Amino acid sequence: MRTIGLVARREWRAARKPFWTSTVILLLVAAAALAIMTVVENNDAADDGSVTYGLGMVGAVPYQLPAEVRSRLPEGHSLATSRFATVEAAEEALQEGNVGVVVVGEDTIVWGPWVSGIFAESLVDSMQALKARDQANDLGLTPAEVESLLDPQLEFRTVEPAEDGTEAEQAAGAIAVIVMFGAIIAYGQWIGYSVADEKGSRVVELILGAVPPHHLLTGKLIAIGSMGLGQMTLLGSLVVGYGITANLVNMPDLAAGLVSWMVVWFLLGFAFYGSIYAAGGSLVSDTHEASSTLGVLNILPIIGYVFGVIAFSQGSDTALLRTFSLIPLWAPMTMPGRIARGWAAPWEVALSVTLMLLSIYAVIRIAGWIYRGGVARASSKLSWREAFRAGRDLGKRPAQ
Amino acid sequence: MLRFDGLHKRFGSVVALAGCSFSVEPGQMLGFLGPNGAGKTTAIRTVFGLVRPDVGEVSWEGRPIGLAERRRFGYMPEERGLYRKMQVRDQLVYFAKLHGLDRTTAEESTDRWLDRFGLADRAKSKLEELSHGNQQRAQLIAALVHDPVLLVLDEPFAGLDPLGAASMAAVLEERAAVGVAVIFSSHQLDVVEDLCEEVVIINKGAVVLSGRIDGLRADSPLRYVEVAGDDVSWAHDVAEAAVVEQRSGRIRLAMKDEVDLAGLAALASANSSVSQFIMEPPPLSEVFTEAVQE
Repeated sequence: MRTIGLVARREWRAARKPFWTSTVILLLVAAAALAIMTVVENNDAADDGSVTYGLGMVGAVPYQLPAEVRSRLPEGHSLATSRFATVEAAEEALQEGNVGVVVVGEDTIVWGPWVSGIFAESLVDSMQALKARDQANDLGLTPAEVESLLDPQLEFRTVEPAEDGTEAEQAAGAIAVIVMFGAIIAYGQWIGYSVADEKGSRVVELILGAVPPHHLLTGKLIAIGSMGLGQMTLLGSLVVGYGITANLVNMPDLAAGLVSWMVVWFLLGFAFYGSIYAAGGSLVSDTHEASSTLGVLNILPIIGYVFGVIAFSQGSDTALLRTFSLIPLWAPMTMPGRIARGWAAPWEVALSVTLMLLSIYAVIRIAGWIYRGGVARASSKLSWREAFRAGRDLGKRPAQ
Repeated sequence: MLRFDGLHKRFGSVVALAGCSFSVEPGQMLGFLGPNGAGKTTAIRTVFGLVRPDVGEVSWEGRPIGLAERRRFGYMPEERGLYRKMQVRDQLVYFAKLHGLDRTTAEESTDRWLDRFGLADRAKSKLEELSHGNQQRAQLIAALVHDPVLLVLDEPFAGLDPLGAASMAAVLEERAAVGVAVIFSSHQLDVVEDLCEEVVIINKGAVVLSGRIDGLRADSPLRYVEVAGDDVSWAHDVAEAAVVEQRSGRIRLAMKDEVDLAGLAALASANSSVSQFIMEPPPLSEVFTEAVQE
């Protein structure tokens, strides 16, 4: 265990600079994407920078409400109102994004999936104020007494998703595929090149004199995997944090669940693919040769990526998508999205994780043999079979 | 004692080792010689578990070599290998710790060896920033830093200038003097002759000659006679001898050891005013060439 820790710490130190550089770039890109998404999703901001919020009204909504809301909005923000004959028609408009919020009668607010915090606060304050004034009039209270009244009890309800989910949930599936694919490719190749570099510089010969090959491999997996996990967590925290601070009503629950599952599936996916990429890196004689071998390995996650993006964009849980989400090669890319969409039954998640764990065990053992055989043979490029045989041979008890 | 016992190793159709057997004792400095492709590096790599022999065994103190033994060995591979972009001191401390030293001991040992090899002022430099000779020194420190009981060095003198070679030779002698078993391969036979009392010569994967250098030279059927005098032209007429070298007033002859030395001396005296008459066994390079050509 001590040697695993030493190897992992050396990897961390060696990768410190590229890790922080890539983390900062990733967070900046994510922040920019969230800013753009906010503008696009709310569709509130006009070209001149002014913002218009859509308020739907059903039934006996207090006639003073629009004026009350407008009085609370900051400069440059305006309100457009629409009347609907039925609650169903209003909710349909919410789902289509024609309005951001619907008020039903005097007491009920139905939130859309993406609501500006400013708009939401203004609306709630306005309804509370109108309700308080009504109660004060009924009781014959003075304005000072009105201030001391408790806030009226307003009913909050969120619109139920349509059959094929909200736009946010639809996007969640594809986003999960893209993020998981990117993370697995990036960190998988990182470990592959790290192994190829150690082999190419021959330093691995010195290390193997003192460290068993599986300790070296495990140390690398821990170090690079934890860096990937760190970046995923930072990225996820940014998304969830944004959802909370921007007061996007549905987003925190959705994003928090998705991020949590993606972290779990990243760990599983990286253990699986990281071992394969490490074995691939051990076959080549230096980093120049690594690109061709690692490039071929990329085909495996690319299949999951292409299929996953297409499947989630179609918006239905097909039998093929369910099958892909159970196969360990593609489960890390497809299962988080299915979980986020609420499509995956608990038994499917359990089965998928179990199959993944069994595959990780098998892959680490086989990749460990290949890695051991590959790194010990410093000569020309080896085939998978040659490295596997060499590794198995080296792992046997000494010949007598 | 490190013992190679009947090692056989085949890579596909290539026979790398064919019954290679020899040993090196604590405190002994053994030269491990052979032409390119003779199997030296393959034999050395078996010590560190990088090659597993098909038949035979490498043992240390009578037991098969495992990880615990290997952590007490120092290794300098033929293809030099350290982290190019890592600071010299950091990676030497890292290697010392991998071999079981605690942090404090590893740092103290690293600093002592850096100082010994004149690299203390380059401790914070990345390896790639050092000259070739200094990189070679750092590589040797990586083999020495954990105070090994066995040093296995594959071509340690390759690419070193005379000063570098001298300082490396001094360190190896010093290690052997304190009881470390030292085995090194080299094509620089003059260096081997200066440093080692014993050599092992392998060819085509098997030991073809081994023993004390002076004994191997004496056992050779070849002899050299060097004669200095005012006229050495007579030597060209000696049937049993071949002229190897001739300069003004000096000639060097090669012959079998059964030659009539007294007769040759008499012939020289009769034809010339002889100022010097020396007979000596062949140098190690001749012994080596003879052994691998048989």
